[in-house]
Parts: sequence; C-alpha cells; structure tokens
Amino acid sequence: MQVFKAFLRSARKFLPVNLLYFVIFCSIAVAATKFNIEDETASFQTVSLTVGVIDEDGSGASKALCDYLSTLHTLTPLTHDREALLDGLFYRTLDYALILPDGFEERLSDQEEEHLYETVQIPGVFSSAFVDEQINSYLKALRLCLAGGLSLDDACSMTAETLASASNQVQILESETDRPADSTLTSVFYFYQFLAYIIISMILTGLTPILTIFQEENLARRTSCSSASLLGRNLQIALGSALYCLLVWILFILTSRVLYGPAVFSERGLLCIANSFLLLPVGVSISLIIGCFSPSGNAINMINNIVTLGMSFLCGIFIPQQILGQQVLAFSKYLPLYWYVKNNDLISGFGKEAFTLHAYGKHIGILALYSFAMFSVALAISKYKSAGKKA
Amino acid sequence: MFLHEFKYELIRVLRQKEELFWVLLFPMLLGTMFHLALGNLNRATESFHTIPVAVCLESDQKNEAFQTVLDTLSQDEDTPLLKPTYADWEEAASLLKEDSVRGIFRVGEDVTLHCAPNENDAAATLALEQSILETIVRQYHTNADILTRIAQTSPEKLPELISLTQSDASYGTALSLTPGNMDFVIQYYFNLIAMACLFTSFAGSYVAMHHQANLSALGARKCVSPNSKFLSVGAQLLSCLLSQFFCVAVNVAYLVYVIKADFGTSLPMILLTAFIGCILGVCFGFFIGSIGRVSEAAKSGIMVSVSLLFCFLSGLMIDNMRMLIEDFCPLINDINPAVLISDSFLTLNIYGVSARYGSNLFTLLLIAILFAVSGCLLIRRKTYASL
Repeated sequence: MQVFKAFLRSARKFLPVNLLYFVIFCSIAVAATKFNIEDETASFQTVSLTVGVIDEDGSGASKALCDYLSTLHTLTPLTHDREALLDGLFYRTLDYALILPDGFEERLSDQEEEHLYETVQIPGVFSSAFVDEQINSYLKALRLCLAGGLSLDDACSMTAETLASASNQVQILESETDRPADSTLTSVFYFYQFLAYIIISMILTGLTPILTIFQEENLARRTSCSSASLLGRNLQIALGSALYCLLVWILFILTSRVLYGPAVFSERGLLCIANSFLLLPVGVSISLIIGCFSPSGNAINMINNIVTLGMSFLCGIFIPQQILGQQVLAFSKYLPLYWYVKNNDLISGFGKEAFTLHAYGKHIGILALYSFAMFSVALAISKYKSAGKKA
Repeated sequence: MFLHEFKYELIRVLRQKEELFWVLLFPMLLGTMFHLALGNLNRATESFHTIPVAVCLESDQKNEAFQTVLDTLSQDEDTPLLKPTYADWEEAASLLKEDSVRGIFRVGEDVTLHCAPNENDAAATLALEQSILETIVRQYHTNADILTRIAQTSPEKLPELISLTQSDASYGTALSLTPGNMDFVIQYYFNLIAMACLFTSFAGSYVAMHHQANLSALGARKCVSPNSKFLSVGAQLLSCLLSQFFCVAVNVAYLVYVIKADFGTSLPMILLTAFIGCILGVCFGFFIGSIGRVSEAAKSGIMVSVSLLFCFLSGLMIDNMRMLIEDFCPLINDINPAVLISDSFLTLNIYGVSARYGSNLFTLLLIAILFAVSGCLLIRRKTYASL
C-alpha cells in the first residue's frame, strides 16, 4: 500500500489549505442558507412587502391609511433621508415609499382627486403597481363613504371595516401537497443546494493537486518501472481519492446536522443526502480529467473557478432554475449539476414538478451516467497520453 | 534603474498567462455568464406585465359592475393589467392547471377568485400576481358592500356613488429621485469589477514573493544585487498596477459596450473607481505575498478564496447579501474592499459624485496604504544565514 501511503502523505501536506477552504466554504454555505430563507412563503397568502412611509400630515386620515397598510405590509417609518430611501429601493429592502404630504386630510375631505399622495418607487416594477392598486382601492372606498355623506372619521372606520371583511378572497383550487412547509427543512434544502458548489470546489482544489503529483512525469516513470502493478497503483490512488471525498462529504453532512438538527435525517433530508452523494463521483471524475493535464497550482484554481462558478450560475445553484431563461436551461441540461439541482427542487418543492420516486431515481441515474461518462473520458485521455509517451 | 525595473515588470506581466487569465479573461467569462443567467431575471420577476386570467361567466347571471372593472383593467393600450380569457369552468380549470392563467374569476351574482396553490419561494412573481387579482376582487366586494350600506340610509346618492366606482382615477404622483439605473441586476456587474480589482492581488503577490530570497531564486538574486529594494519594489508595483488597471479597463469596456450593462455614470468615473480598486488589489496581494513561507500556489489559492469571500459578502452571488450584512454586522461592510468598490459604483450610479463616494475612495486608499506599509515592513532588512 505504498502508493496509498504516499497519497495520504501528500494529502496531509495540503491539509492546512484544505481546512482553510473548508472554513471559507462553510461560511459561504451557512451565510447563503441563513439569508436565503428570509424569502420563504408557504401556501397562498397575500404578498407582504416592505413599505416605507413619510407621514408629513400626521392627521387622523393619514394614520388610518397607514393602519390599513400595516395590516397588509411591513411599514417602516422614513425620514427625508434620500440615501437611505434610494439604497433601500435599489437593494429591494424597501419595495415602495409612500409620502403623505401636509394637507392630505384636507384635500381628501375636499374630494380632490389628484396628488393626494406621493410615492417613490422602482420604475416599471410589479410590486409598485400592487401597492398603488391597494392604496387607490382604499382611497376609492373612502371617497365613496365621504360622498355617501359620512364624516371623515366614520368614513375611515367604515372603509377599514369593509376592507377587512372582504379579505381572504382567494380559493385554492387544488388541495395542497402533503408536504408541509418547515423552515428548518427549507434551510436544509438551501444548504444542500449550495453544497453542490462547495463540494465540487473542495474536491477540485483539494484532490486535483494530489492527483497531479502522481501524474508528474518522473514520478510516473519511476512507479511504472517498479514491481507494483499498474492496476494496483491505480486502485490505491482510487482508494485514496474515495477516502478523501468521503471525508469531505461526511464533514459537510455532520456540519449540516450540527446546524439544522434532526431535520437533516428526516425522510426528505435523507433524500437530499443521497442526492449529494452523487456529487462525489462527479467531482472526482472532473478532477481526474483536469489531473490528466498535470496543471500547476494556479491553473487548478483557474479551472476550478470556471467550472464551479460557471456551473453554479448556469445550473440554478445561485439563481433558481425557475427564473433562468429557457435558452440557458436548454444548455445547462448538458451539465451534471443541472440534474442535481433539479432533484433538490423535486425534494424541496422549489420547482413546479411534484415529487415522485421515479423522477428522483431518473435524475440520480442521469448524474451517475454523467460520472461514468466523465470517468471514461478521463481514462481515455490518460490512455491516449500514456500511448503517446510510449510512442 | 527605476525605468528598467518598470519596463521588465510590464514585459513579465504580458508573459504571465495565469495573471492575465484572472484579471482579464475570468471576469469576462463570468460577465458573459451573468448576462446569460441574469438577462431574464428582472424581466421574469420584477417588470410590470399583463396578468393572464380566466373569466368564467355563470350562464344565468350577469354582473355588469364587475364586467366594467374587467374592461377598465384590460383596456390600457400599452400594458393592460389584465388579459382575460373567457371560458367555461372546466376549460378555465385546465388553463390554470397548465399555468396559462394565474387565476379564475368566477362571475355570477357574486364574484370569486380561484388560484392554484403557490407553495415555494421561487414563485414570488406568481404570488404577487395572485395578490393583485385578490386586491381587485377585494375592491369589488368592498365597493359593493359600501354601496349597499349607503343605499339603506341615503338611496338618492346611489347614482353618484355608482359613477364614482366606475372612475379609474389614480390618486398618487410618482416622484423620481434619481436618473440612475435602479435595476438590481447591475449590482452583479459592480461586484464583478470589484472582483477583477481584487484579483490584481496576484500581481502584487508576485512582486513581494520575488523580492524574498527564501521564497524564490529571483528573490535571492535581487537580495544580493546592489539595487535599492525600495526602488525595485516601487517600480514593479507601479508597473503592475498600470498593467492590471489596463486589464480591468478592458473588462469595464467589455461590460459597457458588449454586454451593454448600464452603470448609470460616465466611463471616466467608472475607470477612476476601478483604478483605486486596483491600487487596493495590488497592495493586498503585496501584503499576502510578504507573509511567511507559504508556497505560491497556496498563496494564490488563499487570494482567490479570500477575494471571492469578500465578493460573496458584497453580493456577487446573492444580490441582497450586502444589505443583510448591513443589518447583521455593518462593520464588515465598512471594511470589506469589495463592498467599498461596488458601493462606489452604486453611489456614482444613483447619487453621482458625492461625499459618500469620496469617503469610499478614501477608505479604500487608507486600507491600501495599510497593506503596502505592512508588506514593506515584512520584507525589509531580511538577512539569511543560509538558503
């Protein structure tokens, strides 16, 4: 087992760098998981946005409108701070800013129609139209009450009352799936979605330099003229690679267990874990292909970043597949991580497809086939190169 | 001697394919991927668009009031809010199932809205569309309820009230506080340029490593030469700064003229910001290159990972990460170079040249000076008993 021991010695040499990668990647995965969860929505409920309000009028009518909006959205009081307002709108931490100018109540009582309020919104954006529609709807109801002869206070009360009694107008047509939304499980799904980027990166940056050492010309010649058989040598390298990948994988599974508790080992959590296991042969086969070309440490970093970031953007790890363009998806179907993400979407319900064991198995099969195909490519390149050297 | 060192550093950079890849090619590749992956993002999720909806009229009932609402909302010449498809219940249900419509208005004496379940957060647009449909029905019910109540006390006012319900007046005025580009996708490109600036650290690291006798043969030769180390380091850092800035400028040009990313400001201001970013990147690399006896590949790995971590926290991979960090620990944003660079672009885009922009550039320069001085302190006056 000399080759295996040499493999372990080389791996030990890269241990500090790999541990650094692990810490960095873990921070990225945890941050991405923690912050992505904010957007979670379960079954139908009216979308709640963040609306900033500058109430310059401070009257009963303006307060009544704010009270009504606060039943629908999260209201944030704003000052006339242009930077805070525009930063919030740009980064979408604020969806809409409402300014109720001085004299709002007066103009409302006078039955004026225009310039009752001012808004700062992201131009051409759907959410702005939504809040506009709600405010206009409120003001229209209020004006009806006022035109009906009610006092302003009574009109405000009646409007709030009738709008509240008219809520929950949506009837869900189909019964919802039997998979209840669980925020911890959702975190698990996000973690495993992001894990594809992390694990492939860890394998490429950690394993490829070790494999490259064995491809080094003089070392390869020395081993090939030794008494060890080629098969034995390759099997020992394969064993070392498998051990390395399994350790990385187990480390991340344990990390997810520590972060999210027993939910990781629930039925759907286990499906995610099984799906993530297929990342190992994918990562190793890519690593083998790269290793065949004996790249330098810097070149490995380059290839790693192109491959992992490229696949992550195109296959739906950073941006959900549902939002990616059709042409992008048509291309990414030829990349293995597309099928990994598709399976994760299937388990989590992020996609539109309903979960079936058949579809899950099919995607797992495609991932396995990709690994097999890439292993074959790596072997073919290796064979071609060794044949070239003999000639 | 200064010019000699300057010239040969320029030649070296041109021959160093790996550095050129990181600063010149990698951002271009990533920019192209952003364009492909994100090109549809804003249009698919945010932009105002018409909502397809099925209308199922119950045969024996007529509801002119709701029909008027539907007609008003579907008659805008540019982008109407609704696109109704009239169908019977079975057909409407199948349209909803195949996702051709976002909801069904079942119109009889009463009006009900039927939607498909919306269970995942990737379908935020669908949730918004359904919410708008809900608002329309809610408004209809509210108005009907108010009319009924007032009709009981003041029936003579009913005609006036009915005409009010049919008015499509908008009571608000939209203010525009900036001519800048508010499309959040542009922040990915801001961060991409920030990443390219941070990747200039490879060149800075090379300069530091090749001035240390225990790290490279070239460093050993330089150590025994009578040439001033300060002069040599200064000339090489300046040279690699200019060459790296040229590469970043090519990237900026690619994004602005080929990808057509709208930075919302003039090219000279973008380039000035990128130049300050490059100063920081080169000094950061110079500092990392000066630390300890770590191999070149390992240092390069550390620089890529740390740069990507900075960019991740700034929003390169998840768009609103920067604001989330701002709530969680704003100090990180105050000293994260990627945030400072991308925020400078954002400031130029939305506010133009302002105090905040100046403050960002000042902080960047301060951090760069800190890195450069620390790097100099680490590599100066080193003697070796044996190599």
